[in-house]
Amino acid sequence: MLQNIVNALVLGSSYVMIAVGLTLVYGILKILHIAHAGIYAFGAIFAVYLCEIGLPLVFAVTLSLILSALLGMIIYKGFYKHVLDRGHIVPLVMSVGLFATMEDLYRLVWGPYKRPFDVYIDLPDVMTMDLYLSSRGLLMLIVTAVVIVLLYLLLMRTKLGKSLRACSNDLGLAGAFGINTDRSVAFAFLIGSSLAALGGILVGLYDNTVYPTMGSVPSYKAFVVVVLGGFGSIRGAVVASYILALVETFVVYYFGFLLPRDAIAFLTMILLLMFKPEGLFGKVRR
Amino acid sequence: MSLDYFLTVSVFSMINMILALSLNILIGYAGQVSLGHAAFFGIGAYASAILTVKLGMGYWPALLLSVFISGLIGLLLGLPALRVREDFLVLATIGVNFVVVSVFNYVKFFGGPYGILGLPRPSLFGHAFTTREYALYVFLWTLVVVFLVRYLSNTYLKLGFDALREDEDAAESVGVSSPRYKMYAFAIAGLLAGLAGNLWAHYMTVVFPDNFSFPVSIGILTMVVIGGVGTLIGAIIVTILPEVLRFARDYRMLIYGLIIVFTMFFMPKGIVGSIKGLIFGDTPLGKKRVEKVRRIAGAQGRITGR
Amino acid sequence: MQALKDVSLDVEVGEIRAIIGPNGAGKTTLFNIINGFLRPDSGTIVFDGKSIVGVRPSEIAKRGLARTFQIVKVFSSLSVLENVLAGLGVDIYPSLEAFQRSPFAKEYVEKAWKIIETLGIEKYAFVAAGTLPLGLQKKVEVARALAVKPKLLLLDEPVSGLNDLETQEMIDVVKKINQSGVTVLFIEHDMHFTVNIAQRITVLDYGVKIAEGTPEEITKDSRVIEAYLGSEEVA
Repeated sequence: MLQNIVNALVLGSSYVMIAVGLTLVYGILKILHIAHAGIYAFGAIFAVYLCEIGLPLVFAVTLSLILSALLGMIIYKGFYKHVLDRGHIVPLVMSVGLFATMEDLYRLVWGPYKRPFDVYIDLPDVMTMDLYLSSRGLLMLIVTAVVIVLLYLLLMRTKLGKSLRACSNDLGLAGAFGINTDRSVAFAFLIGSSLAALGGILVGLYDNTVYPTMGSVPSYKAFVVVVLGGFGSIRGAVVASYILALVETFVVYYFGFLLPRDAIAFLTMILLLMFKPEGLFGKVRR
Repeated sequence: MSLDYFLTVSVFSMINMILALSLNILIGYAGQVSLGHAAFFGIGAYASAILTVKLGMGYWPALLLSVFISGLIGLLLGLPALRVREDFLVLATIGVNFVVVSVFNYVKFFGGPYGILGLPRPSLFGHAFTTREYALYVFLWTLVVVFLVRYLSNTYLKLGFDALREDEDAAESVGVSSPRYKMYAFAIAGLLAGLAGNLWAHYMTVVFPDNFSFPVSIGILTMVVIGGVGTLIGAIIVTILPEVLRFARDYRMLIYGLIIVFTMFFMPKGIVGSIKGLIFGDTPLGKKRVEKVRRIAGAQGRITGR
Repeated sequence: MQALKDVSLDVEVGEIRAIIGPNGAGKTTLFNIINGFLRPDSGTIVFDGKSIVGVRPSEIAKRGLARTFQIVKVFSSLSVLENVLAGLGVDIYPSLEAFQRSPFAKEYVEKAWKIIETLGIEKYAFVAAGTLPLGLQKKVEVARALAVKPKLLLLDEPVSGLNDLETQEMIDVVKKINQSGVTVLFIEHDMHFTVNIAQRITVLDYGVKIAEGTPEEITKDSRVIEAYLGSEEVA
């Protein structure tokens, strides 16, 4: 039982990393940033690559985060920005196209195989009578907790954070008040993308596997989180991440013979969208 | 190039055409962005497989039933569309695609990852179709579908879809019930995709879950995107594409992805639609139609200007 | 927070009635409720003798209630003609006839053309509605609403964003429509338009009805003036 909870916490933490970025982007631009999945995978793959050629983990991670953030920026400035005025369908389909391209590029350049993330984490494993938490799992929990705190401080206490929240509320109005919306959006992408990459790295470490398509399923679940958390509420996304993880873990534990775990998340999403479209915390936007 | 190879490419192209036309009705006409279309394709295929292989039904009744089932499921899948904002409809449809494939993969009854084998070819008067006869059979069905879609494009159903796509609220205000029309769109699209699934399954005589996964949906989407979300001709031209790309099979998703991005960037009306726009000028109505309208308006003795 | 509170409205058949009030007074919300896009928390709406609370907007349209929108909602990539033809389909859409009848059949084209001429936009019949300037788009919206064969026409800010000439044209159009037997209920900020056309005016402020009467009465009503001045709008 306790083990399940611990597992769920770890799972939920991975969702938090991806979902925050998605929430930020959706909150401000109202685009479903499907390509985000590609950034998640990129973060992990690039970090593994750097480690494989000998860089120490910390450098690899930092570099990977920076590049991923830039990648996110490029996607915004180079692609989304130009099609924002063309209705809802175009940016969305474009995002799908970007995602397909990214995944296939990774496969072609890096190889389709799953590779391990072979680095030493200088943390202890936690082992008691009731539960086991690997060092990498512990790392995940710690990092996520730190990130959540930093995020809170950023959003609530800094000027940038206030701009982001204003933009998330009403982009046009924020612009009218003199907020540099373009810069805020760019920052949203920067932050969101580096978080996604970090998530990819942490999960890659935890599962000890990294592969080109590792982004699709987690990102999809992150979308479930965004829906659960109410489309644009970061607080909601964080809470929803853990709730989804808990639900998933326990449902699988008891009913795992019916459907594979991932299908459960997807079904949840579909049902949620149908019956409680505003999620747990959000406001309904017509 | 042997005849059999040519036939196979043709059959695949024609099945692609039916798929593209069906997704076009959903996205291009009704504006419901569905990214899990391979699910309907799969449902039609698997339904027929189960009916013929596991339940021993003959091909023809199985055809009827499997198409009906996929239309029905299309209808059911239209239900989320009623309550879900457009963006999130995309997610829901991706989810449906995934769930459907998971079910095929996981549940023993559907054969799991090893699929279902041994589907029969249709037979008439005791004679089972050869590959050539099957190709002709598929061709006939394709003609039927093309004519059906053409016919429907000239009805008030299409105008209702157009209204729904352009502005759901305004559509309601002129009498288009958005739930009803969304259901129509999903049911018709599901039906046609299910037909494609049936034709595919009995050509290949095997079905595997992987034939209907998300990348396949992307492939169908690409055809619709290039064809111009809304044009018939585009789908026709472009259904050859996946077959041509079989050579570059290894790069397929990459190419699809790039095509989609490129098209969205420069030609949101689709490559074909945009080219048409360049050649014929940006009028929504074709020349013939404009002529006809002028005549009618003129007959009233009222025509005043260009 | 309530958008509307205890608003009661009686529109006479055949009249032209205006609803005015400062921004945020709840006017469009009122329309959305009448139209069926929103459900009222309490109260009734009776149209043509029957209650329409909880009825779908598309069904309400079929019963003869048409509307235009504050932010113009033409079918952008359709031609003006098709926009109007779309309105003509109001009885057809719910039935199986939708699968049979063509919008480009003579009877519909003729009717649509007549409506287009009524609004003076024949020149643009084949042009994509979204490419037209605002004033023309508003006319297209009105034409489309007329195609629904309404008994009651709801116009949400029909002249906002229009210049003086266009406003005058709209005045003429609305008068013509009313003369042909259509009851008109509109929301506006433009007092020139309102005073010139409305037979009676209802004033809302913060979701409450604060006055009702003829244009002469309303323009002199101190509560109305205060409401407008209070919100920094000058009548």
